[in-house]
Amino acid sequence: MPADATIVVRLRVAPTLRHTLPAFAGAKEIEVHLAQGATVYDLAAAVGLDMVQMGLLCVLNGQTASAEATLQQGDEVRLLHRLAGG
Amino acid sequence: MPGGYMGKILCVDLSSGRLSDEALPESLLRDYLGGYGLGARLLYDRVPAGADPLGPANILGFLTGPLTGTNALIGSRFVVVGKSPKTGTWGDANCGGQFGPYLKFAGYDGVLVSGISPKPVYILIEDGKASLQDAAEVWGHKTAESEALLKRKHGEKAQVALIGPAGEKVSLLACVMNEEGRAAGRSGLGAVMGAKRLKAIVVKGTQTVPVADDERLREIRRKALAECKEEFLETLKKYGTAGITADSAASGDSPVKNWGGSGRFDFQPEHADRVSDDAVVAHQQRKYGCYRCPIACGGIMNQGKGQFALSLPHGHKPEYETLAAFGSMTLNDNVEAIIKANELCNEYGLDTISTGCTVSYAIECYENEIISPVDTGGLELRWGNAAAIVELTRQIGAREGFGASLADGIKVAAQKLGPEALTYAIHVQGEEVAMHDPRFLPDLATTYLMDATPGRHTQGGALVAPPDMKFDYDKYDYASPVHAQAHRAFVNITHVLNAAGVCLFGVSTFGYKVLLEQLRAVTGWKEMTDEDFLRAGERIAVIRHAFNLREGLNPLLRNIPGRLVGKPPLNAGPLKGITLDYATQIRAYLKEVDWDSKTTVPSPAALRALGLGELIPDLRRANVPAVETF
Repeated sequence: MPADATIVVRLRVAPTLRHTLPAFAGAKEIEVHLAQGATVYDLAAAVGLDMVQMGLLCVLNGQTASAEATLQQGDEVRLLHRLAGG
Repeated sequence: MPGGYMGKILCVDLSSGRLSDEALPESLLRDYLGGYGLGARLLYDRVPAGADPLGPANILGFLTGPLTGTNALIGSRFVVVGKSPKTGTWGDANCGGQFGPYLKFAGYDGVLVSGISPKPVYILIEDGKASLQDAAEVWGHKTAESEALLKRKHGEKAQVALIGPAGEKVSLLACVMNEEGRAAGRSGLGAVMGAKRLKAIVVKGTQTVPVADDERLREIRRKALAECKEEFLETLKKYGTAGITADSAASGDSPVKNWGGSGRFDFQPEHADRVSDDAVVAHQQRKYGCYRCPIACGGIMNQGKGQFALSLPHGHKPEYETLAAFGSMTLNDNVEAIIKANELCNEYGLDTISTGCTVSYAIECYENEIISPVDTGGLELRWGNAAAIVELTRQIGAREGFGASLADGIKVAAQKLGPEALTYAIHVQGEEVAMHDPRFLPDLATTYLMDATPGRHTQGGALVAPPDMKFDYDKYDYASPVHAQAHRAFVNITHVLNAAGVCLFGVSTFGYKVLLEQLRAVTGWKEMTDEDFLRAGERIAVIRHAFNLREGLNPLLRNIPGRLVGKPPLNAGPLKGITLDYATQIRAYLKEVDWDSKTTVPSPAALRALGLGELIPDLRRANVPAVETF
């Protein structure tokens, strides 16, 4: 791919975030365009989320992943709350 | 008397019909705070080792904490305690709603019930005066109807803790209910209440809980509410814990298909979404909260129409544990069926975690032809068969049909069904395991296997760690001393929280420092440091554990279902390939807390450091069996 190529990934976030983040406007899932080599952290920042500050977990293509994981074209990402009982 | 306490507990002997008040010394309250901390100390002293959990010597306790019924965030909880008939261990179960605060407004910090009544009774407590009342008119009724009858008799402001038909029939899945949908669910303590022929405790009162520094408490509350930025708080406000269901199925947190499946493949997002967040609250008519709670995570559901219409016009919203137990565990994506199953559990007085797990167990046995349509009376127990799941739940509550074989839970059912059925029996010492997978959060293996109440998720650990208590470790680094230190700290602060009478969500959203500041403001114990409180938490952990050790019970001998720990590992999904080295993790924890690596008996030094030196001869006499290799 050329150096300025972008990738497109699909992103889901925790339910309350999809109603508060302008990028989602209530949608369950959106597509996000990122620069080649972008990480999960970059993806979160692109939609207005600080993963570390919010303590979000990442599930990347069905596997848990760190915020430093590099994304590829077509990846499916879920950003979730840390857990609690109930 | 310090603030936060009414100064007395009610002691009821149902065999003789005698009721008496007992004052509690301040030293006891400082050491154990309240809730199951105080309960464990009192029962350790009063319930002899070897007592039959369903017999007269067992004591059933209802205990509040110093923050219950105050303006604290979130002072709404009470705890039911007793020796568990399900596990043979210490048992406790935590509950919100209004009963806890109103027990204190009625003049008492708690009630201890011993003996067995010759006939069904209930305890009535009105502004410091208690009496035994004939329960003939409510015995046999479901919980909502019983509660309505009692409120008609004693006034709408009365609050009621009671059992339903499941408890009356001494089902080990039975729980203690209040407000038609709040449950003290675990440990089978509803069966203890039923065995005592105690239907309910009715409380009415106008007293005020004394607070040492109410202005300071209100300031703490105002500041915490204004400054809280935890996103999880918004999830709880909007959805309750139903907000995490789909995410938990995707992450690996939720067990799937009786602990044998994977969310990504067996309960895919399009199915999980149907039993989560917006799909659940679409059936909600209004929110409600426990006493003075600003979150109000509870919900009242629409009655609905059709096959799964509710019996009541005001059924409760199922929480995450219920949605997972009747959802991902049974591969059921019919949210209306889960709402109905939840109502049935509430009406009969059944623990939803245990009941959902037992149903999923029965399904797996049916799918593997261990049980047949002849056994089930024609019920087709297939994965995802919503109608069968709901009907089986009703049968379990009523102890009829095939449900009668399941009404005491998985361990008892598996013993009747034969050796092949044991393969699918996922429980720890008789307790069905909560809906959080230790393969996802290994710390849970220590909690499930080592806590005094096996299989529980709310007894401390990384799952319920306060946001302002942080340790840096890799969750799969089993030998890490930091991991063990973290678990110890999380356990201790959770025991403080539970003993104080606050809701778990009050700490997971506002932090533990707010909790401790509230405790100082309410009690007036301003000189108690964070370390003093954490030491109280550790003392509570030890006295609960000692209750079991005195019975000769070594938690290292508990059964460990392979599916819980990845033996064998799953071959797909977020938990693919994971096998937990729980033995290393637990050994590191035992070293951290200075409990013997073979018997788990705390060292004399550890006991003396907590002021529990008097337990040393008891624990020597207990002859706890040693486990040479674990």
